[in-house]
Amino acid sequence: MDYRTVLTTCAYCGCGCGLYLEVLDGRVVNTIPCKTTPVNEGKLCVKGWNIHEFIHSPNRLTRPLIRKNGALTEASWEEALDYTAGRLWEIKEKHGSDSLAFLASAKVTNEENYLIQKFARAAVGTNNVDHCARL
Amino acid sequence: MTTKRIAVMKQLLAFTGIEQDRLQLEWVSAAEGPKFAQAITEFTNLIKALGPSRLKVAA
Amino acid sequence: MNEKVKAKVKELLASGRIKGFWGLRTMQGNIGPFLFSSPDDLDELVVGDRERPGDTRYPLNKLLVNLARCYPEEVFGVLVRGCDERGLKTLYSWNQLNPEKVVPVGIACPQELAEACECLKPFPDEFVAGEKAEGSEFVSVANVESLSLESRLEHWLDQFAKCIKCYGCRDICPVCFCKECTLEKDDFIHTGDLPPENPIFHLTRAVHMAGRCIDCGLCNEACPADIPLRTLYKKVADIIDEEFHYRPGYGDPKEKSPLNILGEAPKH
Repeated sequence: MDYRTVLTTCAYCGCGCGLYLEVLDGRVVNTIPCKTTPVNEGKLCVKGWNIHEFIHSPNRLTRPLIRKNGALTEASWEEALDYTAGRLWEIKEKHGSDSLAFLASAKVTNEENYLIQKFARAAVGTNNVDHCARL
Repeated sequence: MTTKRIAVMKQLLAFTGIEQDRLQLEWVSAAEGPKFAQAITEFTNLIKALGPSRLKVAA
Repeated sequence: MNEKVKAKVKELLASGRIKGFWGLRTMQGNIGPFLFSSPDDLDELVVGDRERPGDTRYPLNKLLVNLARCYPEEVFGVLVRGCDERGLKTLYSWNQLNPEKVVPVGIACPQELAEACECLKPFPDEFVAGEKAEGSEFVSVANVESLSLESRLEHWLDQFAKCIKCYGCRDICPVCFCKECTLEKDDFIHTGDLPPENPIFHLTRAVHMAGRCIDCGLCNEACPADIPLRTLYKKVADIIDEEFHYRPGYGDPKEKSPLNILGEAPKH
């Protein structure tokens, strides 16, 4: 039996509520709001309360997928990155930088979010940057 | 079980500000037509006397 | 208080009497629930009095129930206050826990907490630390009862209207163990409504707390909208006591809730 409570931060929005994930035998089984984190003081919203559910969801993407002839097919990272870079370049050349937009995520680190906006602004040349957590 | 639950519910309604007479429990068999009619008539009169529910006014 | 609990838990763990102990621990500057499995880990054990007594209580019973479902043969220890012990007894009586597999380690709450909680019995039957405080009356219930019928409705509608439907009151509740919940069934509740149907949503939950609520107040603490749920459920407990002379968790755990057995009809 391997049971742990792991303190972490809710990844759903920008509030940053503190919560404990209960991990039993390597699987995340439950969420408990942390009473001592000043942001939420033991409270959560309905999304936070259920945040453990997406972790083991079978619907999660585990490999890069490229749509070929209308069907999503598994691809290597190499192929996926080459394809994405190629298409971004193509679209930028043809329609201009502002025809592209970048959507960041609450489920990655601050540093990664910084990188994506830097990439959008400096490398691609657009201010079209948005975030899934703009509540 | 139902009598128990109704007894609890009536008091809970009173605590939350709803007249408990708005909830009534009556046992009527399918063979007791007149009793059913009487129960409904009495209940309708009671509700009319109480007037519209403040819950409805609030909504 | 911490030291006495630590000594007791150390003894239980060292003797092999329990597989693990459900307590609270300081972790990265925060206090959270923790399953202690070795006598060497106990340095950081706390009882949940961070700035004020009892300000960091967690539903340890609920975590215990979930773990016991996966490991029904193991014996676990658990930190209990008066309310937690009532929770354990209620869970025994609803067959959610096997009393033979649970070793409670009790602490008594100080007077300050007993009064803040309006707790009738702020101590478990047996405790290793703390001193017996006086039970406190349900002042909050009396306050609502002093209002006219009209003001009561206004009060509760205003309170319930704040609900953001996080289901936190249910999720944190140590005695909410149903696999299927009425509050998620379209037949009873318009599940898509936000705020939830007022007052049906909260009255439904209140009815389901009848004969179960042990007055721990964790729902109140978990509510992001500060709805005084504890007051509502205190009243429900009062009603059950008045009608059936039963208060969940205060008597013998073999005694069933009047809403769990047919029993005698209410006197009213």
